[in-house]
Amino acid sequence: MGLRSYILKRIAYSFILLILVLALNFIIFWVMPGDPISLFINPVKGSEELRKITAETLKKLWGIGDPLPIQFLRYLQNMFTWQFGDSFVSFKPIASQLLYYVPFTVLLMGGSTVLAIVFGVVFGVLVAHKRGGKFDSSMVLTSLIFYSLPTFWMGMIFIIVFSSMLGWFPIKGAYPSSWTLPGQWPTPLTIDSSSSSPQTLNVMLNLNTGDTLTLVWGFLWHSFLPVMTLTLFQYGGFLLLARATMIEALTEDYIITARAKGVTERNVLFRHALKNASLPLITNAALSFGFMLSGAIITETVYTWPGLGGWIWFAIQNKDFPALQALFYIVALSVILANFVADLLYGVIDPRIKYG
Amino acid sequence: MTLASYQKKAKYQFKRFGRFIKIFLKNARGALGLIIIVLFAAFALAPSLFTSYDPITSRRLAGNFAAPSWLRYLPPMLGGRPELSENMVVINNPNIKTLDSFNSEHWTIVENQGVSIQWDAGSEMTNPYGDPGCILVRFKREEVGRTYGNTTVQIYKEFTYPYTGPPDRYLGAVSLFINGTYTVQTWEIYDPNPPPLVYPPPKINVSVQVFDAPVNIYVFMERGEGAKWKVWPAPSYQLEGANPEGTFVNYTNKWVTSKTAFAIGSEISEIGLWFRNQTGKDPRYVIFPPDELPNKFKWGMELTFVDTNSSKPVETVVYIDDFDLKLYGTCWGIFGTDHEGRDLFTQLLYGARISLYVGLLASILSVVLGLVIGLIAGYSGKIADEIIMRLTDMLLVLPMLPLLIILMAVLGPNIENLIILLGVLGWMGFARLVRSQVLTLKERPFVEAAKAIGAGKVHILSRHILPNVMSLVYVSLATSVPGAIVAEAALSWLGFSDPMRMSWGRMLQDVSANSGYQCWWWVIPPGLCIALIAMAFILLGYALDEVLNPKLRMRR
Repeated sequence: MGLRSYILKRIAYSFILLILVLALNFIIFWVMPGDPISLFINPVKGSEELRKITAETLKKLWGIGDPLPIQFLRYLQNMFTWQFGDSFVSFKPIASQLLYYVPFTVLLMGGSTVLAIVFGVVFGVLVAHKRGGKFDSSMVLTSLIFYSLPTFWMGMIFIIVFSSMLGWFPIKGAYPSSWTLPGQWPTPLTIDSSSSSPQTLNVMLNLNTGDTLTLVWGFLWHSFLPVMTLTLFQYGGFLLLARATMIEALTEDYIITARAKGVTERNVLFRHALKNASLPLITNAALSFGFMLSGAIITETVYTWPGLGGWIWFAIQNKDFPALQALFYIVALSVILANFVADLLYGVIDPRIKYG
Repeated sequence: MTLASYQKKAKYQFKRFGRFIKIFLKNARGALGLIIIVLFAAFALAPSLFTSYDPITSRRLAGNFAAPSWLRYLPPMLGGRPELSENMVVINNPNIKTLDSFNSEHWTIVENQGVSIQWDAGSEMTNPYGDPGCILVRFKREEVGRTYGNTTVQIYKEFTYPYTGPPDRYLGAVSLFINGTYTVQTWEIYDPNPPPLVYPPPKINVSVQVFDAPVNIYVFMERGEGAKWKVWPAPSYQLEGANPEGTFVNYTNKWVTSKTAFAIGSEISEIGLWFRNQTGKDPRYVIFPPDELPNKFKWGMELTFVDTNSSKPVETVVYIDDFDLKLYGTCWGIFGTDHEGRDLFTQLLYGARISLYVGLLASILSVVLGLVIGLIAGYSGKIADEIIMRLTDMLLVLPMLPLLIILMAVLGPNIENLIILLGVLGWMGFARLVRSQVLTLKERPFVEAAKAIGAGKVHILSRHILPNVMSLVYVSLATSVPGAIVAEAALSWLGFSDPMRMSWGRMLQDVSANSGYQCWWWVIPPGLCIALIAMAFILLGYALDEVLNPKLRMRR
């Protein structure tokens, strides 16, 4: 089977999986007890008739009254066209809310996942190289400890030590709270359109170096502790996995050959061995990136980070089903995509893989 | 089979197990994990051996947010706090049932003309709670034509407060019953609850029994010589039968009690607020200022009989019962107390129970599910395999924690629900592992041989394939426990905890909810326990893997 049909097959698989997940997602929220409409109708005030009318309008608005297959079809159509509808609670479009919150989470989880993979793999390779020594056992032990520490507890300790006692880092938020005051947000780019006339659109973009630095520094300073927490939590898994696969790869004959040829030890480790040991790592990394959007609920709660985690938490507490449905869809979609990419990378890295 | 052969078989199995344990314990990491687990299991199985309190209902054991008591003995350089105070019971027998128990308190009695103070068994009327015995203060004048004027007596207990810092709060209590000769005074007033539409409201007769010799009573606390405070009744709180100055003028035939014990200190109470308003200081530091400690204190009651009616002999009797004082310390036990004065060590012990319960049951459930599903998927035909694997993928791509939270919110915060959910949502990884193992096993010659002699599917699965994946089962049982434990802790920390049970996650939730961040003895132990037990199971799993699956890692 060639590469093309392999890709086509993977695409078909992913698509089927996506449809299945969407169906499951629909069913989960359909069987959920608790009527969201009742939340919006005051049981005391107003007449019986008024309450009925309000319920009817809400049902129509959210399409709750329709027969189930039609609801499902409409739901599928909405999901594929990114029409997630309005939140039950805030009545704002969910898509725009997602667009607001996702960057913060991506900053947090993306940064920490990349750091965790880099640290985990590099240390894993080094540890595998010197396995059995003190360095090996101490690294394995520390990574096991960090791997088993609950993130919320790590976050609490970091806040106590680094924020309350030492005062090095802020206690909460993703940026200084003073930025939200009107006119206080740093503007790295300003548009200077004073010289432009209607005929010649002559817009000048000015880079404000000072403001840019403030902006970057503000985010870095605030994200340090949460990123550190998540990195420490995640790197252990990568380290242990990299160590295990590397130990296996280092016993292969081609390693002996490479050493015999006089290849430097660094090249032996990172070029020859790591490349062959990287397939499970890729699977794991893909999963980590796939679950990026929902993986930081607890850390975000600890640090009051304005990302998707807090939004999910709010949605759960308020039975905001459309928001949760959209969220589950997006997380599932990104996991499926990440798995798909991992499958393709397999083919690129290891040509021995039989496509199919 | 005969009984003897059963015995033989059991003996053999026992021997085999013993040999396995021997090999296993040679593995240092596995042994460490096992020791930690056994320790926590002991805590979990019999927490009552280590503590006599309840983690949730035993409140007010000491002051709130009390520190560990061993901090007192640590030098300040190492974070020790010598100013901490321990719990102190000043009155040992507040309900003085017998004369001996009264005498053993060593009350100091300052008597005066016409007044006697002694222990009294009391009658049925004067013992409302069914326990006999009270302090009886009797003022008696038999001669007519003169008065004794104001007669003041005291009964107090001296005690030494040995600590250099104030207690977290003190709790006093007292019950009083006043009897005596009285005059009935009657007058007319407008009916306070008049019938409707009647004007002017009808008048009614009111009669009040006024003592001939009213008595003023207050409870006081005295530090050293002369620094003296009235601590009860609070000036803002008028007692039944008494005037605003605290003088009991009317006979009510009722016990006057300091209903909820009156407290000064961290707990908000009427008298505490009054103290704060009077002095503008934390009430603890008014009576117990650290620079005046340690010191001698007096806790007692002052009674002033006001004798003005010389026309007849008078008698006033005051029964005092349940006169109590407890000082709640600022340190307690091994790990101190939480925001309600509950023992943190007890909570830790009971938390081990929840963690192990959830972790073990959820991991057993998920492993059994994964095993069954993996076996079916691996051994049955292609279609069943495909369906099961797509189902697995489907569950694998859903975000686990939000799903857990939603389902927990729907099913209710119950520990059994959590176990079921963790099991039902956690089998996928193991099912995949088992399936891949079964796929290779079923091509092996011994399975072919079994097929050739006509063995059925069930027989092959149970007798030939299952024993070969059992080693994976043991390893997975160990390694899937930490995930369940941490998930339980995370859910509890988010507030989805069983209200009837204390878990480590809930302890940390209490820390965040009551801003107990400055109490490191409250924050650190639960997290460390979670980490320790999770790590122990991981170590155990790795060790089991090394011992049971040497074939899988031959080339190391």
